[in-house]
Amino acid sequence: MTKLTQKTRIKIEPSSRDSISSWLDVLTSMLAVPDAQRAQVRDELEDHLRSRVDDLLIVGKPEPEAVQIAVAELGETAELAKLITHAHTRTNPRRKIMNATLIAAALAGMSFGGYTFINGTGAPSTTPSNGGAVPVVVPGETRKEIAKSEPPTRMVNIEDQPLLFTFQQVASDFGYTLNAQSLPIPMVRDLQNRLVRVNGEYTLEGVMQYLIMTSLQHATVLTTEIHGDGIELLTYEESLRRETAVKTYSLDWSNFETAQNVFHTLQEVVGNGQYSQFFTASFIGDQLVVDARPQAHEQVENILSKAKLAYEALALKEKTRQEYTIARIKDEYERVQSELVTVKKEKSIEGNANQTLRLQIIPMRDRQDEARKKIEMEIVDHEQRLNELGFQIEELEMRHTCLRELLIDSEYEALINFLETSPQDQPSASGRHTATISGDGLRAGKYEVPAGLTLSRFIASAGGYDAAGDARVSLKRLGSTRELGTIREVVTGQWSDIVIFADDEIIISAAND
Amino acid sequence: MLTLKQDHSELVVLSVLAIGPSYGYAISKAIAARSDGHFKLSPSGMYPLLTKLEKNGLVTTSWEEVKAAGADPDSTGRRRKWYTLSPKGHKQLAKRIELHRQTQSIIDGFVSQSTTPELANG
Repeated sequence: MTKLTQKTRIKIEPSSRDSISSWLDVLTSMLAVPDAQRAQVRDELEDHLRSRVDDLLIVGKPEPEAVQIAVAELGETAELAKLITHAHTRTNPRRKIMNATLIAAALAGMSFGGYTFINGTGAPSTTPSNGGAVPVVVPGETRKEIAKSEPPTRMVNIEDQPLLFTFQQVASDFGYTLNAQSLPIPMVRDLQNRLVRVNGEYTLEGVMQYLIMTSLQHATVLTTEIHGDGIELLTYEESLRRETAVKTYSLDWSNFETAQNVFHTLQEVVGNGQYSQFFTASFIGDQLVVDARPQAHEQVENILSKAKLAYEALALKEKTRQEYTIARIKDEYERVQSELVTVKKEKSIEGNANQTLRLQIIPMRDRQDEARKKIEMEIVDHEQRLNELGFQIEELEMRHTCLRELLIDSEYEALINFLETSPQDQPSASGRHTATISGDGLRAGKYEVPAGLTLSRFIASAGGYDAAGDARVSLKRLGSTRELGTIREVVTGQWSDIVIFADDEIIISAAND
Repeated sequence: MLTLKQDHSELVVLSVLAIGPSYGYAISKAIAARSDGHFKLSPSGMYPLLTKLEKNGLVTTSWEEVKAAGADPDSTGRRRKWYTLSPKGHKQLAKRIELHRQTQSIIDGFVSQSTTPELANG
């Protein structure tokens, strides 16, 4: 197999994404629907949001505010995702009851009221939420602890304080410390300068979502992750980046060309797709190394699995085509070989007859009668025939050599060696040699056979196949044995014209052996 | 402003689509405009409803590529989903209108009986 030796590395940079795209990322990650439907929902909501923003810009709203209003009008993100998912997966009422039970049972193991989190494998999961527009992300370790009880609420009363300070104050009220170290400095400054007012009874998740909503005019959406007794405030992009993992996929089933095609497909589909952020793919030898988000890995696995199936189907088709071609070459080779033996035999007979006539004409060299003329004419005819046979043999030998090389190039060298005969096994000048039939179904014994006798005629002369047509025939030649099929198949099929050589053994075994 | 209840939403959306094909945002604007701003169908109510109508065969859908004004002609635009009332949707709308009129008529009967004395006294 050809191995990929050069190293190709293509990095797909994350495209610049605005708040709407980021919000759509959040929403679509919450949809529990097939990928195709997810993409359609995203397209439709994107059209809605951008149409709405266009209208708000026309009436004089600044773009950040227009985006904020448009997103806010869509309602609470998790609730919207739930309603859309429900609409897409709606079934008949009876089934719905069963599904509701199953879903409730499933959710009970992985979520708690209102919280959205990243599960242990890094895949986002969601549950209904009761306020805000973006998910609060909670690591898997804290899941069980929080799931034990309803999320606590606190009275939050903050008047016109900087947003970052408010995040810290709220975290402190709920017994957490806030960490915003991974945020870019310009964003931290902006959060310090923006004043916010919060008044009411909130869960931790609810108030965090409210605060995140107020920061939506940033180019990047914020999110939070809980680690022990700390809450980390980070960009949504950063939270996605942390989901990424490096995986290695073996392409040892493919050839160089297929591997290249697969690589380009991955760039097209995954590299430009919904989960293209942080997608990096490299080839090292026959290994594909992918650094990407879990959803992108799923796409890669899916594409590789389909590509492998397609490649195997193609390889099988090619193998069948080659085998068919080889079978045809083999048939032709055997036909030429048989014809060559026949023609050589005829030339030998012709030469002998010519030699006899030349001997006959020697005592007649002083005669000019009709008898001598007749012999001379016969000699001319024989010479002409010998010439024709010589050309025929030359042509057949060329074809024989050519076909032999074709077969040797194929995987049939062993077969060639089996079918070929060495010079000492060529038919004798007398035109007769011995061959054996053993086993049941035909008259067993050692036969003296004429040169050029074909297998079918040999079998016919040993009793024919009418009585034992289903008995199986094997040919032992030069120490190797090859099964040829039933007597009926041998006599009527591709093996019928094989020429019997000296010391060949035809082995007959009963059909039920 | 009144928020439409689900039962009324279907009737209103089907009525909007009876005029001609439309898309999500345009439908929400049409509802607000035709009710003089009294009715509002929120996106979280409308999109699931449109999905339900599509699944039930009451509307058919198609996609159109939309480009912003002044966008590069070679660039890819966003995709817009259009909804068209199907023959089944027309039949459903006719049934809903008939049902609405019957209900309206019955309620009018109650309302007129309860207000007549007051009017008489007034």
